[in-house]
Amino acid sequence: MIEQLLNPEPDWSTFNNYNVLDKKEIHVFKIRINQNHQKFQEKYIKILSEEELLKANKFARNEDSIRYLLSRFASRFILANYLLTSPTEIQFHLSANKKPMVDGVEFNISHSGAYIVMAIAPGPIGIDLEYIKEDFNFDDLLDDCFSVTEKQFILQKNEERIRFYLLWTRKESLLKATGEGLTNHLNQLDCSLSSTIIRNQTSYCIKSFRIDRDHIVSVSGTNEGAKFQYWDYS
Amino acid sequence: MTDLSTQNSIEKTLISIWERVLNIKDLEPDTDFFDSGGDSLTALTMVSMVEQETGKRLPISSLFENPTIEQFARLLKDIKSTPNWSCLVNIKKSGTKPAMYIVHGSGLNILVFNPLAKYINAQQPLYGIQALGLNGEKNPHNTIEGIAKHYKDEILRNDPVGPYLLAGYSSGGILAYEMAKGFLEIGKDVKMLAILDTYVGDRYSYTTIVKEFSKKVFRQFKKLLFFSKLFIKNPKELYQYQIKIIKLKLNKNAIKAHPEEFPYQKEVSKKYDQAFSNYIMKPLDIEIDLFKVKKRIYFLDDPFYLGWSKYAKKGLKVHEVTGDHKTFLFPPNDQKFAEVFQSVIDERIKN
Repeated sequence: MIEQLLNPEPDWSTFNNYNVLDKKEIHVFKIRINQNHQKFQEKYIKILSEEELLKANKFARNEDSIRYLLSRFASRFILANYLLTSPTEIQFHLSANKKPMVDGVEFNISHSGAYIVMAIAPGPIGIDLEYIKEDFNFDDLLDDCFSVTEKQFILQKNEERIRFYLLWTRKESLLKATGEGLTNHLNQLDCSLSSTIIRNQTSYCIKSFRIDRDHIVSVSGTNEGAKFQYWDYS
Repeated sequence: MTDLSTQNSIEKTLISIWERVLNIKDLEPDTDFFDSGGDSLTALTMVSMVEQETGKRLPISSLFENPTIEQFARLLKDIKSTPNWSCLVNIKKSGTKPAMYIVHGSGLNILVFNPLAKYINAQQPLYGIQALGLNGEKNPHNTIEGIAKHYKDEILRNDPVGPYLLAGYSSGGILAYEMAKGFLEIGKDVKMLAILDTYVGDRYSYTTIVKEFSKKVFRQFKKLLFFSKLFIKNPKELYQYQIKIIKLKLNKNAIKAHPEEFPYQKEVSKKYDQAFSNYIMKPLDIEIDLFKVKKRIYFLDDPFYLGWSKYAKKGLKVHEVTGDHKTFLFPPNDQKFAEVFQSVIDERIKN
């Protein structure tokens, strides 16, 4: 059953800033952090706002600063391409639950492990990426996060860890798409075991796949049947 | 359990939890969770660890608006422990008869009512009322009237209509009595007020006997308080645990609690102690069912009515039960007691 929900890693097209993004499609980007940071770090100062550069200094860990800077840098380019404007013109603002937004486009970003991922779609969209941590103790979270049927799915003989991360990313991507963010009653939301969910009178599709051996991504969107394009940012 | 009395002590607790969750050292009160590598999964882990260590759970969403240790500690200080914490504990849920509410005796031992649940009529729902303050929160009341009103209000929330059946075990008898008064005052029907071996003989002449007696009662109370921590987390588990302990206890006085394990004992028992000694009982327009043990191990000046006759203006019925004050609820006496208790309940419901 895990195979029905978790797709293998898709084929990625290389994205450079000259690609045109079809506005009827759902675009998913993977951004490898180390490699892209090496390549672009000297350009951050020209593209990012003063506020962003200051914010980067606030992180306790260097890797978080880097990830933040690259995330803003790459998303500025991607969004500018989509909106046909310049990367420096992009104005981010935060929604109530700290989701970065830009007027005129639906997108969502997530990061974990070696990657940042981003999705752009014609309608509301949520994406969640998790690096599968081998030492993460998820047992204590099961009751808080999952319904009885979801727990049954996770606690099967094999691949418990992958099942946990799979359902977690599915749930979180859905809640990011609906704009709810992490709700306080995650276990009352029995959503992660089907590919189509109705929430707040809207129908959402959830799609999950792997990146490498050790990352799982889920994307939730409202555009049923929309074609997915997978881009490797470089 | 963690000290949650000051902002500073909460911050210390949080720093230790956040350092573990975020795998980072030397956090300061102004550290922002999300600037320190925190994401949704770590946030959830953190909230769950905070609940485990403090008995308080904050909604995840509150972390977004209060992302620093200092802010989160402030929230934690203000909220009440586990929001649905209640004095009411459902001992036996099912049944079509009106529910019986039994007030704790000398402490947390509403769990002593557990054997009763086994032998009581299948149609008889049963609730226990546990002492305030056992969840680590300050008991806001220092009078019997205040405590009884709190219990009464919780019962009203559980069942706003009635009729009500009340019982109080040991010192809880006095609380049940004051609760009955509260129900009568608002025009509710109290079908039964059962006093389970509570002695109120001459409360106002403070003889050494009375003082010694209440001391003894409270000593017992203190012993049982160490269950509090467990109880908040998992009442069901504690039931099972408690049953084991009670069995042990009956065989030999084997329980020695560690002082660290019941951090609230002093405060809770002090408050109740104070409340009991300041309480002035007034006769009440009610009939009382007094269940008293055959074997009396304390010397009392009114062994027949245990001092209750003048308070029950509509009459006092005495029902003798086997065992002594400590054992009448336990095997081998429990079944017998349940039968007597149920028959009186059924009699009262009929009227």
